[in-house]
Amino acid sequence: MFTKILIANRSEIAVRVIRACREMGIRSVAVFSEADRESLHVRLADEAVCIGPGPAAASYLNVDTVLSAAKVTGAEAVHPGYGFLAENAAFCKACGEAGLVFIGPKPEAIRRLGFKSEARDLARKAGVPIVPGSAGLLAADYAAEAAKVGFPVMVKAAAGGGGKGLRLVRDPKELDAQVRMAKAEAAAAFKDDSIYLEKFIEHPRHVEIQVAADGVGGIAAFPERDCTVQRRHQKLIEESPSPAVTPEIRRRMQDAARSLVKAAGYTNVGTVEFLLDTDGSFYFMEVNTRLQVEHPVTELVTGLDLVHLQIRLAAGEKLTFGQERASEIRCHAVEHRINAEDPAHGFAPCPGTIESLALPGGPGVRVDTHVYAGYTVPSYYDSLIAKLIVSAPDRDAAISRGLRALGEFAITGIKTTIPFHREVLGHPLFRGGRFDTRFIEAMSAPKQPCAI
Amino acid sequence: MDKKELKDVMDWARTTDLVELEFRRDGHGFSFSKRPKPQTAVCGFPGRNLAAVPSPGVGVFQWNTPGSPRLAAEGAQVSAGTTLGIVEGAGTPKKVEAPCGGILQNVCVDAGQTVQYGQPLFFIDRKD
Repeated sequence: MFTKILIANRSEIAVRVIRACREMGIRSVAVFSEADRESLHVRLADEAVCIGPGPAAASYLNVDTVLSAAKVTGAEAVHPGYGFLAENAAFCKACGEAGLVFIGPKPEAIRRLGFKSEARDLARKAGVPIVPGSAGLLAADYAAEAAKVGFPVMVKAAAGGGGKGLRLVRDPKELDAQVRMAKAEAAAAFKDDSIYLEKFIEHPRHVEIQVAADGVGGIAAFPERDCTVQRRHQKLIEESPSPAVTPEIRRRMQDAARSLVKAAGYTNVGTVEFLLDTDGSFYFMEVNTRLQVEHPVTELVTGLDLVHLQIRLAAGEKLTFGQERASEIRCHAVEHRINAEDPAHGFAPCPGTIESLALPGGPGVRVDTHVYAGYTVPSYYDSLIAKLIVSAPDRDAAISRGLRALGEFAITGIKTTIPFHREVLGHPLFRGGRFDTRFIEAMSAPKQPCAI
Repeated sequence: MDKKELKDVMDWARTTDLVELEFRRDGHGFSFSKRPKPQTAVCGFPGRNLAAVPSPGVGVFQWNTPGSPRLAAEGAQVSAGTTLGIVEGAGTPKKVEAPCGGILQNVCVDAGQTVQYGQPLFFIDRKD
């Protein structure tokens, strides 16, 4: 096992990994930008190194600087968290070359699965259902391809993510313009304008399977997480198990995820994302080759620690449990992403100083955060300030507990998405479990004035 | 009382444990005290016109690339952009450059020392 790990990240995920390190008797090294000097991860780590100015490109995204910090502190392994360098194959490779263990998959696996069109090909070969779409990257004859797939179609960037380079085309006449726009957006965001086409599903749910693999045959696929509550492709609420997944769908999804992991030669933990249609059929979307924001949901449902597992697998240990244990559902869990955003004003980011903070507690309540009273949320990074994860014996009890915990969550000085989460939990569509990925857009649409 | 008489008095006073002495006659006289004057501590911080030279990155500080002469020494006159040392890490070594001209003071680093981004390595007395 490692004696010292560098955490190449910030915010709650850095805190999460530092906690796991401490529990495992491993020393932790935090890195931080000048804008994060006061962050909790800097205080909690055994050592901390300032790696650059506020902008991420000069600090958290700078491969040389992060590697230098690992070198000067004598770290043996690097945990990338999520975002920043977590799915950067070049960084993963550079770690290996610098004699550091990258806590995650091998660079080849990141490259193979990170490029979406290649991941789709791999899925097709592994017998995993994929959304009908263009065979590989789009060439000049895209109009014929689109007609074959059938409108409406989605134009997607091959190197995409976060909704960039994504275009919905309902009318064949709009295809030319939308393809041009998607290419321009993709080129600007990812320096790669390759795009492909997919059939558009009208009422999709976003359901994903957490996996873990040890590289010597041990593969575990955990119960699904339902991340359907999204706003502009950003997840806001994740829950497990999904109210739309039957034991039969779950088993098929887990089997599909396991086949893909095996076909890709994937190791460590990862997530296979699917679109679930109303008829119970599901389609492979992409693989996230890292720990995800919503991993605590699975931790609560299964009673397993995914960060401990990640570190153990990276250190060369084998999975100590089989698929039967991985499939166990011990409770219902819901995660609420608390962002420093103003839901009343189009979710505009609200950086600023937190004047007071009272975190919820009590049975079944977990809060993962890096903030505290007096902390200033910097404007350089994403607006996630805390994750509230509640667990209860069933979904109804989890929703009641979530409302209770959100009511206790008191934060002043900045605007947060807490009122929004309360609204969602009280919404009949959410309570009934009948919603799709456009639920938030529909919910936030201007309401008809009440007739008195 | 002339100087010699005063000296006699003071020499005598030094042999005693007197701390203060005051003498007056016909409106004239003298007083002296052997009590040490309370002194304001000399400020340990250098003058107020100092500019910090921060480390440009994370790594190991060196005075120069191996085999090259040391470029900077305490007390040297430097101008803006003068290279004072380098920081070696992964990738190309980063130059430590003087942000302004002045006298190099307070060298806070030595060769082989690990440094982090923004850490003050030197101070320059700007003399303006």
